[in-house]
Amino acid sequence: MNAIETHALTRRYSRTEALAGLNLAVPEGAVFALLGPNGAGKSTTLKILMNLLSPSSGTATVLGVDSQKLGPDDRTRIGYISENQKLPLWMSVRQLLDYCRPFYPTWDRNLEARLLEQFDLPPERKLRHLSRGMLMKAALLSSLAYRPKLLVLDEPFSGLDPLSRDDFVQGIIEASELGEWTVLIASHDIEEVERFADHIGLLEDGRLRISETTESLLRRFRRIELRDASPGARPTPMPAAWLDWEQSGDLVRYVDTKHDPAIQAVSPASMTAQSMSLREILIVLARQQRLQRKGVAA
Amino acid sequence: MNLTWHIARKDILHLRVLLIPWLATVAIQVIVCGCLLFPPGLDLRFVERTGMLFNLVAGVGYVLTFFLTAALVLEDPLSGDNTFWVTRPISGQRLLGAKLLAAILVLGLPPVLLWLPWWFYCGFHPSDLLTAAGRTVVWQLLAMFPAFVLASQSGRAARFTLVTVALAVATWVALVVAYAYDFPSGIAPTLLTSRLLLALGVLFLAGCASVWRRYGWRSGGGSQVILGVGLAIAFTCVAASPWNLVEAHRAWQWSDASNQGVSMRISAVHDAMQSDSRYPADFILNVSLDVSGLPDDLNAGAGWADVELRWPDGVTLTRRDLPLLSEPDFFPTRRALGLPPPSAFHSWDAETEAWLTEQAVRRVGAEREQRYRRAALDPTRHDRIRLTLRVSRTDLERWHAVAPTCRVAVRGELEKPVRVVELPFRSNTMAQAGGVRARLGGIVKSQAQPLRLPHSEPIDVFDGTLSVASCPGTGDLQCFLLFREYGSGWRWESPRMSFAVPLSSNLGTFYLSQRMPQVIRGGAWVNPSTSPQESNVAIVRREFVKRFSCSAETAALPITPYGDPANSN
Amino acid sequence: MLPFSVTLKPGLPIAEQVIFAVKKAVVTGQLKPGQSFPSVRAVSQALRINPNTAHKIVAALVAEGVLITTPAVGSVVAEPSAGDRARRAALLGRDLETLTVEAKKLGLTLEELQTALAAQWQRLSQR
Repeated sequence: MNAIETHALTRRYSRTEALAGLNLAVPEGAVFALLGPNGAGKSTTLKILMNLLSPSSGTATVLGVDSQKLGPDDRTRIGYISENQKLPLWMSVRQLLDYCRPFYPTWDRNLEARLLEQFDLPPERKLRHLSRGMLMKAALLSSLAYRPKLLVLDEPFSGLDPLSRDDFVQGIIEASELGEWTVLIASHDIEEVERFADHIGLLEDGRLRISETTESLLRRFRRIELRDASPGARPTPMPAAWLDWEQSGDLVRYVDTKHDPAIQAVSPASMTAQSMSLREILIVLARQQRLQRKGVAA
Repeated sequence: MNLTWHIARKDILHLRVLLIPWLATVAIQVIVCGCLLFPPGLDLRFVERTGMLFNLVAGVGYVLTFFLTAALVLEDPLSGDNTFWVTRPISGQRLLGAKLLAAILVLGLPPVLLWLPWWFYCGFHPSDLLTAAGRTVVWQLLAMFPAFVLASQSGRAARFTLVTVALAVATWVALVVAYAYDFPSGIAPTLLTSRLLLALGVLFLAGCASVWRRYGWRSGGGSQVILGVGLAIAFTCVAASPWNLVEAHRAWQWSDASNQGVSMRISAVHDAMQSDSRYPADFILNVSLDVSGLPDDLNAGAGWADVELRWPDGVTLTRRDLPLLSEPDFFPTRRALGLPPPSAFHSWDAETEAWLTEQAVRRVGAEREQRYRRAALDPTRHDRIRLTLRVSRTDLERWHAVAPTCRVAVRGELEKPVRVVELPFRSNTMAQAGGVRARLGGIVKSQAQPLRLPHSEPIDVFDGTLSVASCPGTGDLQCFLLFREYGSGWRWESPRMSFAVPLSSNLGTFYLSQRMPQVIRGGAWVNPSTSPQESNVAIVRREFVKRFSCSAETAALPITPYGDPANSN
Repeated sequence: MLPFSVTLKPGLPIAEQVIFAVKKAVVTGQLKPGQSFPSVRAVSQALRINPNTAHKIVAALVAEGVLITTPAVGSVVAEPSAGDRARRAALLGRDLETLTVEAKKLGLTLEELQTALAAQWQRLSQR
């Protein structure tokens, strides 16, 4: 059962195509990080899912409901926070919570109090006078206190100091309910997401380049180094699974995207395979994408 | 409903500071009304300025209402994909309900509540209270509605302001262009009114539809199309709508009106020797109709007439929907006030009247004697209706050459004068009855002034103020000064008036310059045996009773030239 | 606070890192048999990791016999049993393989590796 599914989702802005036939599936219970460079279509995807935008074509289903029919009842089970969402800045933190509370039958006042304490939010201060981190935490609090089944976060960490980020993640975990709780985060802050997300989706030019569990992604990418390669060892054609090939003298480096640990046992001593962080993996993929685009242009 | 109220309460909470100046404007209006009812001394300029202040404050109040409504709507904007409410479990309909609720609670009801003490003070009946409250709310709605529509379309405060300014400028330009091209000329006033009403109706419906759509669907394209189409239809209506709704409505109103026993006779047509400034080439004629058969307590009041002239050579001239100018006999009024006949109101007691008539006859000559005698002592009624007819020079010349047959069909209303309140003619007296509160301010004796001809004797004159506050249902009020001792009275023709218009009620302050009620005894003016302060001021309301329709025809109707003695009656 | 120490490094699956850290803590005596193990939520909270991942970690540790779950108490650290010892030694197989490969790459002899291993063993036992 997928909490979110899209089929051939397309969205055009006058000329540019923000989404080009996106097929996204976020399994229920996953913490799904939608990564990608700025302008890849992350925000657009999230806005379509939240029925803030309508798609040019294609369909999206959120919690089993067509996103374009997403109504108030469905929204009682969904929390959405965006970095550029307009909040009623004239309200104090308490007023914001008092305002939001009656809309949600599942609002948990204990959780609200706990998060308020944990986030170190001054309840009587006006949102206008809060720092960016505080403001995002207040927004998060107003979207967590009813324990949403689906939490959608659009660049939640941008402009936040490390402590606020930590508070933020902790708050999400605090409100989580095992198994039946899905999070979709669009972000370009990879470190923050790496620990937390168990699924990674990589969006590039309105298309989903990668969508798999963090574990398998980390497992299959390895930076391979060969010490005693013969000059001109470059294989032709280059295996599709090998990226970022570099050679200098007898030293060869490349990224194997389909690494099999069993090979390591039988590989020569001159060959080392290093695990890669998510950031490194994404940089390699982005570079690859740029090369391909240039190739297409040429 | 709870959630709707919850949202509305949020908006009210946010706007509470902005509401204070607006409520202040309403409160000032109420206070100004009080000031006008109690003007200090005889300073007419005070009354005038206070009246102006009232209208200014009321205007500011409506502008504030306009912008407050916009602020209320823009609190939860409908455009943009980053507004707060769309991500919350709030449906568009609920939000619309909340906005309407907040608007009514915050901008509709407070003026009613603030005016309520004043209305109670004026002694409004429950039905008058409802009328006044309804009017207050409707006027508020008139300011709120366009703001609501524009704000729900524009989404941002800056854009709303821009659109408002643009619309104001466009309206102004349209008016200038219409004036430059002499637009409404050649169109019957009723047709023009119908067109404007139709256009406003279309705009209202389009506004409602666009707001509904705007709150129902989040993409606003459709709603703006609706508004654009509405605007285009409204424009077309103003320019070319053929439907005369006003006339249709009148035809329906008078559809089953009988003549109610009223009969009419075309008595004369006078050359008024005037011209309408808008049509300098045309001439104005006054057609007089004598009305008879009216019941003792009723006058023939407002209405409309169609005139058809036919010359022997077959040329016809028709004018439709001419407004009636009623010159009612005061007999029913005297009756309502408990004064005995004769019917002319501007009369003294019998001895004074007879003496004045002799004086006048001596001065102006015997040929006018009959008129004065009749005016003074004739116990029969003389009700008259006048019409003004605008004709071209050609038609006037044709008319002068050959008298045409004339047929006039009148649709009129029968009115009953009713005494509302009577108070002693004394400084600082006040009375309240039937939804009217009247107060006489300081009355002082000013220098003696000569009477108009034919009476040349100097008579003492009083200056003073009379303030009358009334509910809208009472309509036009007439003031009379009664000398019951002599069975006579004066229609109060105030030389100057100052009006404040609270829309929900009427308030007028009249400036009095009133002759002292002296009488002739043994050929000399004497003060009445009782003091003049024993005289009364009465306020009379004209109550609609029923409609009548009747017509009159005459075989040949020649124009009586201006200056003919019979003309100046 | 968690009763075992772990510093998460990017690039390796988090579950693996935490499981390894727990096992290490049991071996070094940082976690004693019978000691209660933090709940899934507490683990996820403390490490700021996905509760699902934390759940997976605890499940894996229970499956491997490192932890015992009792309905009322929650998870506690298991007594190391004889049979269990054998299984654990077997579980070490893959790590040993990695170690051997790495040692070979470095050009170490078996003796050198054994010396290094013994020194490491000594160091951990002293805690």
